[in-house]
Amino acid sequence: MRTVKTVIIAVAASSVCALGLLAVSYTRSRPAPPNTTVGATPPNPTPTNPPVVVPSPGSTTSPPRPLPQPTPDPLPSPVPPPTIPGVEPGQTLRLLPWPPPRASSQSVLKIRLPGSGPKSLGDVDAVLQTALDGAGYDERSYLGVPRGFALVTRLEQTSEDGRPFEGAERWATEVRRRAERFSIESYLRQLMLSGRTGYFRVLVFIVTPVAFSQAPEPPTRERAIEFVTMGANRLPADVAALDYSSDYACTALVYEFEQINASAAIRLPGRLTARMHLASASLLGALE
Amino acid sequence: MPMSMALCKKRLGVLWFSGSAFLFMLVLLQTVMGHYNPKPDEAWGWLMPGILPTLSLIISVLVMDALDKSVKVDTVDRFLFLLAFGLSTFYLLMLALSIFLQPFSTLDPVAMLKQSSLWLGPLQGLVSAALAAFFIKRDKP
Repeated sequence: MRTVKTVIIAVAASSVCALGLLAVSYTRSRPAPPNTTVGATPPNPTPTNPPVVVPSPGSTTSPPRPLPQPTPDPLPSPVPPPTIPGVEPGQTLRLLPWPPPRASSQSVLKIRLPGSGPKSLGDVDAVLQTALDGAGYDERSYLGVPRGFALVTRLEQTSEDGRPFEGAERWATEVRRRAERFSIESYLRQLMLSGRTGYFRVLVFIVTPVAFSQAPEPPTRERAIEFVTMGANRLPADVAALDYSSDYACTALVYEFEQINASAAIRLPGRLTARMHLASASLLGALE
Repeated sequence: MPMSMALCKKRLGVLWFSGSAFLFMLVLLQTVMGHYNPKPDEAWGWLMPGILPTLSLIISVLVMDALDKSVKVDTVDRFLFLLAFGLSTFYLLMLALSIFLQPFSTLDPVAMLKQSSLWLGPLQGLVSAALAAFFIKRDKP
């Protein structure tokens, strides 16, 4: 009888323990609902300005006041862009964070410009465009840097040695399961080895006469993706007309990201040098 | 048809310890190979609550029997034993399938383990109930 009682107590304790652990693990694994604030950070931490209430002209509820003087421009004045030393006041490009965020690797390129005579930044841009077109970089954008410009490519997925993937897989922003023919070897590899590892990179070409060092903080992958969407679709004429002198240098920054399963992080320093990245992307030969 | 209680306990013990050891070694190897990187703790947080409570129960019963020196000739109903044994086998198979099906899933391995708690939780409750009934209801000689 004593044994039966003990077993009953043990079974009950074990069941409660198991159900409790499962409930705790299940509760912790569930994402918090969007409206909750416990332990959750808002997706955009930037505080929003409170809405400005503009009284309607026909409103009679407020006491009579002297009419305000009409202003020539009723629209609110735009927020002045951040200033960077050396940036021309009339420059029309949105600015790359300056100094640029810490990159996985960098290299100063010796751009080979065709022909002789005075050159402009537009000529450098033409060389970069031709090289990028030839390597399949259709989507890129321009950002402003001191007395020059930065050309940013879209996030691309590469193999471990830096060669770009083919087709849509190259431009996927997440690692997808590779469609493989089933075999015991591939099954065991996927069962035992690290689930899904992907390599991604963003290339940034900075053309400027200003010497710079990188900022200590690297960008997140989401921020690096934004570089290409926040920039201009082409180089503005006022920037393209700037003279390209021997003071200028074209620096390639490579932001290399590694995704393991669902987590992605920048590689600091990168697995490959910037020149290895450019060579594997078929860019180095076209630029130098 | 009654069965020897000692034999049934032994069979259940062998099933649970061999099954748990296999799953333990499998997840250990996957962890060493980096399969669950960068969150291996979540994989272990999935496995341990799934097997430890039942293993603790079996160990406590076996230890109590070993300490009790009196001669026992208890028997147990065969149906109850088969129910507990069958449910235990099915549960351990479900645990193993949650791991072996990962290569076919579009989900992240850790996410798939978390998702499997949806069906493993109720199943574990059934197994616990069957084991409790098995150990409580016994035919006296």
